[in-house]
Amino acid sequence: MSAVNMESSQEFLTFTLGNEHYGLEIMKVKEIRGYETVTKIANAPPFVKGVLNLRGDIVPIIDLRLKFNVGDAVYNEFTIVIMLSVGNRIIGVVVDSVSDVIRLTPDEIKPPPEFGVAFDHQFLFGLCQVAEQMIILLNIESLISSKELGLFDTAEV
Amino acid sequence: MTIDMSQFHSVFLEESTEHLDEIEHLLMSLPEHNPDVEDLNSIFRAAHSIKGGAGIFGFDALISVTHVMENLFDLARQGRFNITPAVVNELLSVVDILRRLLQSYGEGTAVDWQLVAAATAKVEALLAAPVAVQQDDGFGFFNQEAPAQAAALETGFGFFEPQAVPSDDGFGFFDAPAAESSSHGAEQGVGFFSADVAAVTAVDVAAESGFGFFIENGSAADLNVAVAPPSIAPAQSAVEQLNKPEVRQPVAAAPARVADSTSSPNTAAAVDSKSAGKTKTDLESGTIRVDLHKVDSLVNLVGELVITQSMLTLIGEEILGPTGERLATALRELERNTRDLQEGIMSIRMLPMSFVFNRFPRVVRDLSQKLQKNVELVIEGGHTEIDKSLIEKLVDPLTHLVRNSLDHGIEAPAVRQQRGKAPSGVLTLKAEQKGGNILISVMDDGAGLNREKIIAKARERGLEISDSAPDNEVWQLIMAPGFSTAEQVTDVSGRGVGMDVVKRNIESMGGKIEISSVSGAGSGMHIRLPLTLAIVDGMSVSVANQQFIVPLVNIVESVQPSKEQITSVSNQQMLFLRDLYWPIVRLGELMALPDALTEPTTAILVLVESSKQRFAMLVDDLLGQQQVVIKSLEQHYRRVHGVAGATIMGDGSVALILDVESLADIPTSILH
Repeated sequence: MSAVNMESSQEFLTFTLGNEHYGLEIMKVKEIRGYETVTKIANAPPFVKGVLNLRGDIVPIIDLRLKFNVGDAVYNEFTIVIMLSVGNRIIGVVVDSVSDVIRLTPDEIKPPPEFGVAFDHQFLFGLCQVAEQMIILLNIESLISSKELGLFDTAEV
Repeated sequence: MTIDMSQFHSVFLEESTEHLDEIEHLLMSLPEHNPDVEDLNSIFRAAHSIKGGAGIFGFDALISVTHVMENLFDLARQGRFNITPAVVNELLSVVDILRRLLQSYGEGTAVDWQLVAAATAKVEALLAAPVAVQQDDGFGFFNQEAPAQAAALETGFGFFEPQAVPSDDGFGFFDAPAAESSSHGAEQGVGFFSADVAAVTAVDVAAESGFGFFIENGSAADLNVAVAPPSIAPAQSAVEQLNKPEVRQPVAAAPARVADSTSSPNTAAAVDSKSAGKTKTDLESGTIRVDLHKVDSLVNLVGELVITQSMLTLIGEEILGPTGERLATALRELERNTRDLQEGIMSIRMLPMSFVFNRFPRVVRDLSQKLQKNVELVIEGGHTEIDKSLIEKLVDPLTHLVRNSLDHGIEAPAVRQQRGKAPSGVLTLKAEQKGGNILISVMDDGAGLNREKIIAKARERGLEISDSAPDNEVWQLIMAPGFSTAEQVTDVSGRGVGMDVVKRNIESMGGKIEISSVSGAGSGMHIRLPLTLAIVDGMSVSVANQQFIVPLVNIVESVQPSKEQITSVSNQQMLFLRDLYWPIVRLGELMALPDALTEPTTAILVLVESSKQRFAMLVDDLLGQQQVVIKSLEQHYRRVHGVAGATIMGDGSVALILDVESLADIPTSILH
């Protein structure tokens, strides 16, 4: 990859939900950790698994597999939680596995499809092809703060 | 009851300095035409806050100056007074005088009443002056009225001659620095109103000319250096301190021609300057102001440390033999130190409400004397601990509420007797922890709010309200900006600024204010604040292997009922205990935990009481009583009904803290 490309390129963390491959902007990732038992919250939607203690912060853990019906929501020693910082908030997202960090230049990112994936296209950033593998790039910030997930009391983040 | 008020002086001085900074900043940023009403409101409020605080401590000089400033800004925000750049300059110099006054109060030196008179006169002159007079050079604004005109024009200043005062008495001394600095400004066109520049220049002049008359400037310079605004680095003021004696030598050496001059002791001015510097250092070493974020991160780190320590203890138990024993001893030591450290750090943030409340006996005494009312102050719940950041922000709103209650609420003794009440009114300040909130109330047994009057006044001000509006809505009206039903504006209250400020301040803390009032029987203002970081005494209970914390304040008792004690009333299981029926609410059901126990006789019933109702909460087991730190769920998630917050347990897991107050709402919602 040339030096010129380095300037405008972005890094993405890729992960899997079921059989689909996704990517999200790596700058939003705070850390990656294994799934641990969470404290359940009453009357929360099923995809909100509960909260856990992240070094003194009470952080909600959500499972997008449940929300968008992708793959099986199993929890084992390989289950991964990606801790994201969105605005001032920290959210943990359960995924099946974390694959790689890829660097993409703007021209490698194709516009997102308007159908055919689990997520509404407004939450998609684009598509890209890496080694015969199609990766769906998520606009994780708009997804997490969306009314659809209803994670926050208000729309603001 | 005697309370050492001086312990609160430094807080007041700090706050007032901040208010002054704000006024100064806003004044300087005011545009020449059509200044933003919001900005004017802010200045007004800042002046009002200083006045309020000064009232507590009996700092009369500050009160009289801020009072006239308020008058001016009140007119200004109604568009009846035009704030021209010249007026701004004038007001900035008044701000400087306020700084000096603060400084003298802070150091306990005598107040220079000439300063006060000068400042008051300045503002009054501004008010008396024809509006919209604006000359091309922006100076000489007040020349028309100044008898000292000739002298003023001669020197080319005169801008600061607002008063019919011969220039060689105490007032003259103001003219010089101000005038000097304005000439500075004319040359450089920048921030010439820095008090320091003015004063230092004045001293220079004094040193050169050697007039005994300027000795006063020497002492003025003292004050100025000491009053250096916070923005000036200590190092800088230290440098100024060092330079000062050189400048001052000729001044101090000058014959005491004006020894009988009226101002503060000016003998041995150099010594003054030293002692002033010393006092300041002493104050600084007594308290430090630390960014709350730093404290927060310490709190979190210590929380982590506690968890690590308990992990170590668990591992330590596995090690046997002599090494194990030594390890156990060391771990016990570690545990104790960790707890001490945790307590110490928590105590940095938590302060008892009495810290705020103890300021009020004096306010109430002074005010009731001034208003010629008999008032008895009752303080309850002073031990309730509250976050320090909230304490600081509570002072202003509470001061306003107390003043309002005294002025508008409690009637004069004669009126009270007519109405068949005791001649002496009762003002109650109360703090208590309620559910996930801290509730602070200011209650009086006075006349209560006058519904008709409020509605009439609201209509007069163009606010829409229907006659049938519920009381709650009507009471909320009194918190609209500028709303006041008082017929007369006194320096106690009646400007309609208080409640506006109170509401803003409380909302900025994430709280809300509720008003209760019964006509003729009294009114109460209830401030409900969230527990951002408070400690709650709680009972740890388990339901289906999940832990919950029930605040101890809500718990009446816990029982394991016998079969005979359980009855059923229209499909609702009830516990019958000592002549009372307690509806049974299953926590497992509320928290959607299917594995929870459901049979009352095998489980435990925790009898809880909220302000609205009482019920028996069915839990699997009681785990023990402990103090927990309340952490916000809303920071990263959202509010959850029935849950006040969360806390981190010793093993690092998260337990939810129940909010019995809102939990009580759930059963009915489930039934319907």
